[in-house]
Amino acid sequence: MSSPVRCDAANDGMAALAQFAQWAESVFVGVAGVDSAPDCAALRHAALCRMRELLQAPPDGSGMSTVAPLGLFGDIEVELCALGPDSASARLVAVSQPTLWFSLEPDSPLLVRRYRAVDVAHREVFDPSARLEVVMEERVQFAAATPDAAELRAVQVSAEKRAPTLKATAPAMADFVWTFDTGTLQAQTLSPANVDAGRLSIVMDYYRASGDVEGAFVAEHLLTHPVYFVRWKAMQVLAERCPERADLLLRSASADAHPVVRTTAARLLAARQEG
Amino acid sequence: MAIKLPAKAVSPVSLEEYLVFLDEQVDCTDPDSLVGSAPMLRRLAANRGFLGQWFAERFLRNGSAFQRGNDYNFQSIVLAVTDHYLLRANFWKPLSGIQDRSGLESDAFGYGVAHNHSFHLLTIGYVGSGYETDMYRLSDPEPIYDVGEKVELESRGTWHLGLGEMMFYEAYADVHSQIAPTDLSVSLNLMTHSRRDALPQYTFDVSTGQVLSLVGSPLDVRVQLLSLARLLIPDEADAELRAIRDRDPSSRLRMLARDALGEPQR
Repeated sequence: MSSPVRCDAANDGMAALAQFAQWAESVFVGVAGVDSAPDCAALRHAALCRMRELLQAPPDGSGMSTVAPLGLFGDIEVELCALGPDSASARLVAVSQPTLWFSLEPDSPLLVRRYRAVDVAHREVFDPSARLEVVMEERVQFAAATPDAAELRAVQVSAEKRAPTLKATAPAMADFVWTFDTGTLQAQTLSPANVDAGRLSIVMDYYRASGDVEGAFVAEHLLTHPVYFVRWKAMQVLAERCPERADLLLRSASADAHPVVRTTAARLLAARQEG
Repeated sequence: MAIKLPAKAVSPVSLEEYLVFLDEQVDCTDPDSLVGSAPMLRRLAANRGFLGQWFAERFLRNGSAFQRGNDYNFQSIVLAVTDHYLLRANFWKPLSGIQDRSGLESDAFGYGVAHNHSFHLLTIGYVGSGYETDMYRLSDPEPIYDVGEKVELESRGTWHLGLGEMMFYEAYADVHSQIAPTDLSVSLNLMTHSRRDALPQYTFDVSTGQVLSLVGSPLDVRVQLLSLARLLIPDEADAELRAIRDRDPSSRLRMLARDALGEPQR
């Protein structure tokens, strides 16, 4: 039998997890490192106590989740996951949010492989020729990855044997997420970093399909949305509701940051002027 | 058994009136009560402006995060949820509207994926020409099926959820596979929650009659937590998993507990 672990109000692990989150945040901004790493035994105890609490009152969840949410500390979410030799997936997901992994099993270091793609001209435009290259491999107790303005980065983290691992994440810094094939390292997909953009996009589709009068009001607010296809659909709704503004909207879209929006708007504008 | 109700002209009600009706007059554990509530959902759908107004109000209040806490993908917008039911608007894009490099968007709509539900569902076509769906009946929904196991699926033809038309899908036994509409379509769904002793929800290969996969459920979270807890407190976690395996009212959770313990299913 494993030895019983005391988890009472004064020792419930939340303080240790909060410190871990704070340390992770320092690592993300480059002001903390190995020398200030938290004590593994204390973190393991904290995770254990938190798991006991979760088992008493499981959170609402859906799908086949493989992580346990241990707590949200400021902007940093701390979760428990299991990493093992089989943790590598068929897809490499480019880093879109600062992430730190910390093995709670000192005998099972993390196996970390880092990748980068330096020749991606536009983060919001899919380029099938984009390809990752391996930068380095390491065996460490903890590893962090942060998005970078100059290059797309990806990290594959596994462990020699199945081990409990703490994962700390900060909010997403990118609006889009790239994925790459683990075998060929070729770009596979580009999708919005969160589901909100997809929902707003489909709401714009709804307003166009239904002719609902509220559409113009919502669309007006979405003309400057960070995700290009939301901006584009908002412009379409507005142009249909307010035809007198169509040329102005298209001219504005012709100067959009996204090349697809720019070229499509310019083409439509030219067609309107010819017609 | 799945039923279809024709469109009918009725006077509209507000979303608030509909929710009060559900709370006060519908027993969500009783399929007959749900089917009996169909006329009121029809009256909500007769309110042509409520959905656009609801979006606008929520958006004004919460911006892009107006659906925070909604665990569904972008195809579904949750309008109301209580301990007894969930009301959502489901969006169905035509294939021509799906610019899909990865297959992720097609997957989100579930087109061509035959599945049953672990809850009852009453639905009405609200906008657009509406989806078609290939309907099947699972002859015996009670046993727990393994992935790859053959089941008996009786084809009931292709049904169409047109504007104002309604359908009721019975939990477990009704299996269907969605076909994309020809234009953007919206349906309103009144769904019950999966019960504690719910049977599993599956996807099927209708050409071979085999179970393809088990669909995840919020009820799984306890077994998932125990699977992780095995890494930290193996003896305690295994004892709890064995208790679920032996005594839980849900055959689905008993099955997942056996999986988590690494035991064969049968």
